[in-house]
Amino acid sequence: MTVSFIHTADWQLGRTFGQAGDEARGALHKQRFATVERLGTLAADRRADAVLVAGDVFDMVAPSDRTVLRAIAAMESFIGPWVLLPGNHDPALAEGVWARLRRLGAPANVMVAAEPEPILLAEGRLVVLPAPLRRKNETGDLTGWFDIAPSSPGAMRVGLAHGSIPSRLPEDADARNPIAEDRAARAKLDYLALGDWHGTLRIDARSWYSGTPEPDRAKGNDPGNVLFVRIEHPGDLPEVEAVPVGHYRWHDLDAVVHGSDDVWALAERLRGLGNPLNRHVVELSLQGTLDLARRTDLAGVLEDLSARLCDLRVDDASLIAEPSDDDLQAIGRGGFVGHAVDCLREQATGRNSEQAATARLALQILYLESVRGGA
Amino acid sequence: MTMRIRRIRIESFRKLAGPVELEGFGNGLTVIAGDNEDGKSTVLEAIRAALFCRHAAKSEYTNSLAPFGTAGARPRVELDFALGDAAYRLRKAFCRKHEAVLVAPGRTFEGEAAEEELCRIFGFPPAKTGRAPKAEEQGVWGLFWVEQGTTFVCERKIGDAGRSTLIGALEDEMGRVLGGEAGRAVIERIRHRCEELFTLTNNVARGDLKLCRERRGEVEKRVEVLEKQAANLREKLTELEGWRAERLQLEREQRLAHAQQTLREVRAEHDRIEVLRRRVLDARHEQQLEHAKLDAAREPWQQRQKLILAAQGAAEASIRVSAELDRARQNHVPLREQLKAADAGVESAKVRYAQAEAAFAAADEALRRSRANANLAAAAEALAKTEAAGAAAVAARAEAAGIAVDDAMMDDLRKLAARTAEARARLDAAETVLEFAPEPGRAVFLGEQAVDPAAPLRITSEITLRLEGFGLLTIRPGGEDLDERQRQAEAATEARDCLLARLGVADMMGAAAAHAQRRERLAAADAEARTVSACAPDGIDALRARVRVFRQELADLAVRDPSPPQDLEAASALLRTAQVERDAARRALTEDQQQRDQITAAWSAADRALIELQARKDAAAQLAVDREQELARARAAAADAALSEVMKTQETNVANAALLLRQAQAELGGADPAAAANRLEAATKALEEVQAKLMQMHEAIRDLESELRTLGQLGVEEELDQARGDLDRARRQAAAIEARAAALRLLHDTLRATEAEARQSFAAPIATRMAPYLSDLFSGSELEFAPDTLQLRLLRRRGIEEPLASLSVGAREQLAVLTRLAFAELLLDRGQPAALILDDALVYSDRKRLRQMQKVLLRAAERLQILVLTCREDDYAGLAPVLRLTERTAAPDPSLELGRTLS
Repeated sequence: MTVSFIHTADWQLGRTFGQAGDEARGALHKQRFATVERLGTLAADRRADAVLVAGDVFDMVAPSDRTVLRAIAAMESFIGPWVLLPGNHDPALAEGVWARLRRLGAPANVMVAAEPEPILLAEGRLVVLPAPLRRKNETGDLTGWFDIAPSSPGAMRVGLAHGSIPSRLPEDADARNPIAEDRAARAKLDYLALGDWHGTLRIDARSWYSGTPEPDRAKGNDPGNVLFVRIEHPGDLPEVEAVPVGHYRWHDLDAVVHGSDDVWALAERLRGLGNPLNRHVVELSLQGTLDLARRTDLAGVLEDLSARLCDLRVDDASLIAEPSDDDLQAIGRGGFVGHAVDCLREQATGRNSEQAATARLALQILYLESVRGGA
Repeated sequence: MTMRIRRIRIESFRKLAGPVELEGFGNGLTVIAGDNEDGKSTVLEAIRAALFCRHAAKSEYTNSLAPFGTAGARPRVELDFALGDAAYRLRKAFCRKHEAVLVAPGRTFEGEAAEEELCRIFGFPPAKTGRAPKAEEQGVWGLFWVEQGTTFVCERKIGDAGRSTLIGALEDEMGRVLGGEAGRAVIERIRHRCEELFTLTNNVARGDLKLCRERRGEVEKRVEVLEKQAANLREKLTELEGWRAERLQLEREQRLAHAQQTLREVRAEHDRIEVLRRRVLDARHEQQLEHAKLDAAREPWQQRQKLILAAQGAAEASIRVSAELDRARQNHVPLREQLKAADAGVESAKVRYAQAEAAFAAADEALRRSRANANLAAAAEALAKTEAAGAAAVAARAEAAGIAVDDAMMDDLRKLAARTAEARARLDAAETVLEFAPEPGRAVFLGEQAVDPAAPLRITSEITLRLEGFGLLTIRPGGEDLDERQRQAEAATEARDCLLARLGVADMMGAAAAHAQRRERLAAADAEARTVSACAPDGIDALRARVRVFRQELADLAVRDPSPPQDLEAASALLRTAQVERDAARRALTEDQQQRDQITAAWSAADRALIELQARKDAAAQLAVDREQELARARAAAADAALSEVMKTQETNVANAALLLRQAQAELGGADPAAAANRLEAATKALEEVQAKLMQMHEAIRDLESELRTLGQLGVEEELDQARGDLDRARRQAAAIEARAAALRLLHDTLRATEAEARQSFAAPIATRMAPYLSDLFSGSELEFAPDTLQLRLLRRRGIEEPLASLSVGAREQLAVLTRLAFAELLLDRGQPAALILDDALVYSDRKRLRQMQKVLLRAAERLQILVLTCREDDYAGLAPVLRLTERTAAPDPSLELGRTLS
């Protein structure tokens, strides 16, 4: 009677990662399909009865045909049933992606749970109760009907929903498309497969967010997994195993640099993220004050790492570069140049932050030109 | 360190075949005087060549140093000068057997070493070639030769070396380093970096900046377009949802079916009302028919009434006319009688009138006779008068003619008398007066006459007097023209008397009397003539004729009535009476006639009336008869009562019909047809709307579905997502490069500004030095130097900037000199050697300015040596020692001779 399935969600296929560098973009975009293929392979390997996708299969209401075709291709890795639930990114609209999915040749084992009606799988041993989204934001709890949905006594009742549990999610999460916290109990579900939260998260013994199988943002909340769920008999507690399938790792780092040591420490830290470095995506926030020489060093370090990592995005708005005496010496204290440097330094501490920033940058340039002699 | 030239010796140098020796230079101002063509400029050139020209050089320049037209010459210059305490002697020879010897304290330098030492002492770079030493190559020294004709070109270039010397002096003063090569290089590199991104002149973006901006713009546009498309897509999806929902709603509410049902109901009601309406129409139709019939019945009855009235009328008229006729007949008779009477009256009146006429005629004739008589009497009287007067006039005239003294004569007479008197007077005037006073008993005799001794005797001509007891005394009165006057008086008297005689009068008084009488006679004749005219205005003949005519008339009238004519008055009175009576008789006649006419007229009228009335009476009678007959005929056809009956019946019918109509209308009104019509219209419209709506929905849904299929395939949202990411990056890139551009611009501007500031600050010391001199010659002004070339650029006087070119030549001269003075002092302060040589440098300055400049020079000469070469010796007389070129000669240098012989 055992039923096992893969619970996943939030594939966000078609997302373009515009913020990332040129090369990274393509790679990140493509990887998502590869990860789907991988989880399909996992399902096949583990002989799962189904793959349940709890919403946001596609990142937008109208992805390109190419994206849809690729999705179909990726799902060929598992011939068992795929149950795709329309989420808030890809709601079941009148003439939306789901209609196209069929037209573009999705095979019969790929099912779209566009209606709130039970789906029987695994020769009736598994009943999936979907709560599809018809529009981006539903104000009511679409899982309500689970409570009264009938199913045969020997079948596992598994709910499939996309939304947020207002009381359970961390504070900064969106609270729309609400789902009752105790839906699993009320509807007598054996398992409630949730989607929308991108990190793997246990709500209770029977209610889980699988998270996205391939991370798509730096904020860490344990993404990159699928959940392999086994239930022996109806009513038993499910065994839930988180299986990492994601390829890339995303990091959101803050660093404070005040001198040469800090610079090198940062370099080490970045290098130590993992091997190979090109599987890591880093968003780095810098703070601190450096002299011009160190700033140049830092620039060098970051450039080096940028080439090694998959993608490195640096926010250095809070990083101040100020010339030290040595810097000034290098620039040359002589005559009008020195006078110019004094002027710029004064401006760099002025109240108008934009002008001050321009002055600081001017000093940096002057430093580089003087030191490098015009590189 | 002071530099003082002590002695110059020049030989075989250009104009100066020489040798020319100048010595005795003062420490301060020294004047070297010489006329033009004496070679002052040559002296300057010699010093220059000695210091700066390489002795060994063979060039056009060195060749030119030789005096003109001599080949194989050996230009030679000796220069003794002191730098501070050190005394130097320089000897240089060019061209043939060139040499250079510098004797310094403690050392002597020869050849190249001498040249090098000179360079070192004076701080100028070694000349590269043997060309004419250019100002730039003379280092700052170029400044200190202020030559004739070049003064006012204050644009002497200072070469870098010169500038660095000067700047070196200034550096210490300001304590700043200009930065030299390194600084310039930095600016240059920064400029280059700027130009990579934008043009410095007008900030036009280029290179990466331009590209990034363009890219950003492009991506922004792209995002905009995609956003629109995505929005469009979403809109369409939403629209489709909307339509579908609406259609569903419609179906659920079964609006179509309801609308149809409603229509059916309303239509049924509408039909019912139609029936009622029809009924009303019919009733109205009936009513109209009955009305028509009633009108038809009314007419004959009305005709009958008319007929009855007409017959009655005719009968009455006939009777009236008969009565009238009778009355007229009665009036006719008396009129005839009246007429007769009137005729008689008229006749008698006529008779009376004839009588009166006759009486009048008789009276008239009597009057005429009286008149004629009177006329005759008057005319005869007039005639008599006339004749008498005529005769009198003739007589008077004859008398007058007899008097000769007429007006003209009288005039002549008077004139003559006057002349006489005048002549006499004149004579008397010239007369001699003798007054006698004889002794008693003695008398005076003129001829035989004794002269009255009491009265003075007037004599005008010679007279002889006998004086008793004496004898004769002849006196011849003198006087100018006494004789003449005497003659004249006598002549005049004679003339007068002659005329008097001719006229027949004794004297003047007689003449006057005769003249008066003549006059009087003539006047009398005139009076008589007037009388004639009065009595017989037409002339006496006419008067006579008239008398004859009157007489005749009277005679004719007397035939008819021989009785004597009456008095005119009485006759007139009689006539008047007769006239009055006649007029009265005529009036009476006229009245009677009028009266008779009236009666005649009345009688005729009455006659006519009778006839007319008779005719009318006949007509009226006939008419009455006709009418009666007509009426009888009509009544025979249909009795009065019958007609009346028919009409009444029809009236009843009409009333009934009206009643029916009202009933039908009431029924219809109760049904409210207007509202029912509205409801039908509304229901029809409603159904149409529903149908149209369904159609519209159907079409909209179909269209949208097909459109969305197409749109969906484009993958707009994916592209938009990508584009947004691109935009974010493009913006960041653009921002970064903009920031860099801004920083570069700031850096560039700052560097330039500081550089300019630094340069500008060099000019300050110079200006400071010149200030006191300026206040002498250009009070209230300041100078501005171009910072990069340190050349004088403009003068600022009272706030107004004057470029050099606009100053007068004299002013520019002065400024040139003052500037050099300032530079020289600056160098002196720094321990560098300086001296000033002015070659006719102030030729354009006026006397006053010249004096001022000379004061300045004198003051400056306290610190440095100033040599003034001039052709105007007098200008500088008394100011400084004067060395005259023409006086300076010296014995030929033996060494020179040796040199010549040896070569």
